[in-house]
Amino acid sequence: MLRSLSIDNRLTIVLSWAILLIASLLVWIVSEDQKLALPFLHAVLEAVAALLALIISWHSFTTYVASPRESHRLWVGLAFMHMGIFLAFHALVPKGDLSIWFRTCATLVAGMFSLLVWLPNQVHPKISLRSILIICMMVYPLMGVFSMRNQDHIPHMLDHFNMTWIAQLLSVIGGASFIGSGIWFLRHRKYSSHVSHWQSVLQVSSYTFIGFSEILSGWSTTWDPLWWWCHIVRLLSFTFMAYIAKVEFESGLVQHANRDMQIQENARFRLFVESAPCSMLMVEPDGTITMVNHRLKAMFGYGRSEIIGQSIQNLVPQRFRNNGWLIDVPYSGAEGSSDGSQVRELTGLHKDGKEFPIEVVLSSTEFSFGIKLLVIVVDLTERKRTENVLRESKAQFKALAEGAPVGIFQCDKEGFVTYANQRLIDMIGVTSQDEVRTRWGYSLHPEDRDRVLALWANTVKTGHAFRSEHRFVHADGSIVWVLGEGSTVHEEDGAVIGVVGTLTDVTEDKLKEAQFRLVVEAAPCGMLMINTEGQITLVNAQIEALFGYSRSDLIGHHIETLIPVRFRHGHGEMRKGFSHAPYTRPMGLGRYLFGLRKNGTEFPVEVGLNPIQIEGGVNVLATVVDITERTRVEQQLEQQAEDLTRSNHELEQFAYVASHDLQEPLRMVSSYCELLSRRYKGKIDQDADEFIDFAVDGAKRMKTLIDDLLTYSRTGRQTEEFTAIDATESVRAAISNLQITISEAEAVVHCDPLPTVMADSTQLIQVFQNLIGNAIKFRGKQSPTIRISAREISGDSGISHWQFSIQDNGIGFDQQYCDQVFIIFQRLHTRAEHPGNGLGLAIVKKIVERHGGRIWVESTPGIGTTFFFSLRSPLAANSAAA
Amino acid sequence: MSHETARTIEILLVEDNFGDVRLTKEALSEAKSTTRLHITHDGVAALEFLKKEGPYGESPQPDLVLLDLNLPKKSGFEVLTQMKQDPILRTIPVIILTSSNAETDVRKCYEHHANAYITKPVDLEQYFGSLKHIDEFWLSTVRLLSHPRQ
Repeated sequence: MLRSLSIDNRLTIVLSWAILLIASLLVWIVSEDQKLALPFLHAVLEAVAALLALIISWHSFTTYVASPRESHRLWVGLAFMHMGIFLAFHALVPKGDLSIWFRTCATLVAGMFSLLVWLPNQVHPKISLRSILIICMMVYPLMGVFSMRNQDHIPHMLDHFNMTWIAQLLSVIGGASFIGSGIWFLRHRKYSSHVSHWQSVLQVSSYTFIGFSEILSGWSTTWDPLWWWCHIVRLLSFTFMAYIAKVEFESGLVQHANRDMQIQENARFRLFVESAPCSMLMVEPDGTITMVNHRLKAMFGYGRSEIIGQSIQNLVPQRFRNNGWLIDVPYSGAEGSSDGSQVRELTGLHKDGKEFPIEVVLSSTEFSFGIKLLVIVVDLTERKRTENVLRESKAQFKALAEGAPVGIFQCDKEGFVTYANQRLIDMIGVTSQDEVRTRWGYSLHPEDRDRVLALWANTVKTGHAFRSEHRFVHADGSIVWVLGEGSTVHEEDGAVIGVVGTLTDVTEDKLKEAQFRLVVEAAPCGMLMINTEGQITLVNAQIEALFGYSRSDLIGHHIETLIPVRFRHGHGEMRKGFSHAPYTRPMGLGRYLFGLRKNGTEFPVEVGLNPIQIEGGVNVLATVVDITERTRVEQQLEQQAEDLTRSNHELEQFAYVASHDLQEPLRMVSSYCELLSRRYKGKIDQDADEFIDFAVDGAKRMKTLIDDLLTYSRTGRQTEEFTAIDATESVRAAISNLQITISEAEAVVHCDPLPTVMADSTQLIQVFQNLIGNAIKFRGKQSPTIRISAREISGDSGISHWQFSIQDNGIGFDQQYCDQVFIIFQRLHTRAEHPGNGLGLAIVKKIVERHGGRIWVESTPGIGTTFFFSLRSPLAANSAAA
Repeated sequence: MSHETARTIEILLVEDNFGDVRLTKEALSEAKSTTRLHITHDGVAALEFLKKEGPYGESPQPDLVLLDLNLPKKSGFEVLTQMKQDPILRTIPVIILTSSNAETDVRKCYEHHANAYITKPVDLEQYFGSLKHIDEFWLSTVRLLSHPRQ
């Protein structure tokens, strides 16, 4: 221990005690009764003492501020500040009670403050040191001044150079206090890390000397040797203490600075630990956790206070604790991985019982305070999930790729296949992924190989999408048509690293296409296909023949080549219209279309358009038929129909005019024949009477004939609107018209309930009238019975008709005449047997046909005849009109 | 029946057919009324007679006109129309006596204010009957204007 003392320290101690002995000698030399009255020297000594006291005070405060935990310096500082100030007053006031008052006060109060070093370190004044100092600096001078102003009130301290008992008491208390505090320093020799052993000895002895000198000074007489000895001892002690305070202050500063650095270091370490994105723990070798960072809370749910002191085993599930996940961790850096740490994947246990995957880095380090285990824990939950997702997505891709109905491949830029699905392998006919890897180029059809490989090279070079229709030769020798589509895969800098794509088997499509071409070629009409741009992509032989172009002249050319110039203008718009509403239809409804031959001639065509959805849009398959001949025939027919209509009309007109104009002369003939008969019958001779009768009869028949002809010709000309007519009413009207005839023939007419039909009322009555009249006219031997009925007939088109029948029991006729009876002027009997002019049924037929109906007859000679005719029901007529 | 027995009724027959003229004369000769029959053979002459123009300056105003439709020069329709537009002539009853029984003709005549329309019966008896009916109704039953304006 002695060696640790510096030369300076030992010299100082020796010197100081030497001076103390010399001073004591001086006291002895000067006899007891000798008095050395040197007030000036005294004043100087006290002033120096006061100064030293303030120095001690200042150093103590400063060191206290640097290390506030050592609170004794605060009390020492306060004591010596007080001492310094009051000694200063003492030095200023050389004599009398006041002087002694200041000195004893200095000793007493400073002693009391010094005693406070016994307080525990933790006790500090609540107010700041700065405030204490300010208060002291104000209070002490005020107290000094106050004392000087009120000297009368100060207790009597000095009695003829001797101390009064009050002074003695105060001195004893003050001195004892100093000795008391000296004892504290003796007991706490290591009270400060800044002072050495010898320095602390000096400190203790200084306190002791101060104490004794103060006590002794109570019994000294002013100016005597003991009086001086006390002053010198005290001054010397102050000097030592000032020295120690200075040493402490300086080493304290150094240590303070060191500690700052350490604190910063610590803070940096803390920051590093706390900001780490993983949990960090410091663990004792027995597994007790001593330190954690805040991440642990988020990861395991434990707060710092909850887990510190607990075993690290609490952070893993029970079942792993026995395995001793930390047991075989090397506690020395010599083992384990190269940097002395071990990495493991484990399962963590959250406070709430949830388990999660973790990665743990274990390393052991030897610190000044022992071997510690450092544990870094990383939560793998997210990583595991990502891995799972990746694994799943890979599995999904594989499942998708393997299940896909098309071949899927992936290859590098050299063309080596890195993946091919089973479909592709089957398609090409190789046996494995390995084979497809190198063989796909060789499997290409020899005719397509160069083209495909060139296209491939271009794709890899430019990054453009790959698309090609080509053939593979399957291992079994068959040809497979495929549509290959691929796109390049790029690195971030854009460099092509490979190609992914699909192979679709289009062999069947190709077959169908070939069939389609055959069908088109074999079609009996011209067929051509145009693409969305209007270019011809396909023609058949018929088109070549029709237009006079060869196939090569047309393929790739615009469709307008085949259209006369005057029609080209609107064609583009119409093509657009078709592509907007593509459905099968004839082209140019309501217009005449013309084709343009290579030689410039035009011919009428009929064009049918069929949209065909193929890749790249809607193409149009057009059929072209030359309708030159048909158009000619159509025109001819039209002309003939027109001629016929006109001729019919003229004929009707003629019949009407003829019959009308015939009436006039006929009337003359008949009238005057009758006049003749009236005036001259029986007046000339028998022959004349007979002649006149023939003439009258002829005129009458001619009148009937002309009437009927007129009716017949009018039938077609009348344009009365058809209305809903109750057929029963019409029959009733007809019967009424025929009243005389019926009663004469004693005929019976049975009429079933009849429907309402659409008809011209007058004409319908005429029909029934003629047919009933006919039945009566051709009656047999028995009285005529006529039955009229109707039933509904559903037509083919869903339109229902009423079928009327008029049945009689007359003479009937052979069925072979069933058509003849309706022909105008055709008669089956002589006029003598059955009068008539052959117009009745012709009129009926004309009326029925004008109503859109049909009339026919069934007859058996001797049994009777049934006439049938059909008429539309009002409902059917309406729906037909709609 | 008894009130105009003394007066001779003036009738204008417009008819181009001489056969009909004769038949009409024959028929009227059997009539009870005293009539005087004036005859014109075409429409133009008929209007001249009615308006006392040309050769008909002295002709009387007829009490009744029997008008055929089918006439030379001017048809019976035109005669009828012009008569019915004339404030004086429109008071004379006009009976259309024609061989046409076309519905359109009948309608047209009545639309032009004809007073009666009779289709000439082909049968002589009926013809005579028709004229007998005219005599009985128009010449005997109906009261005509007593003093037609001159």
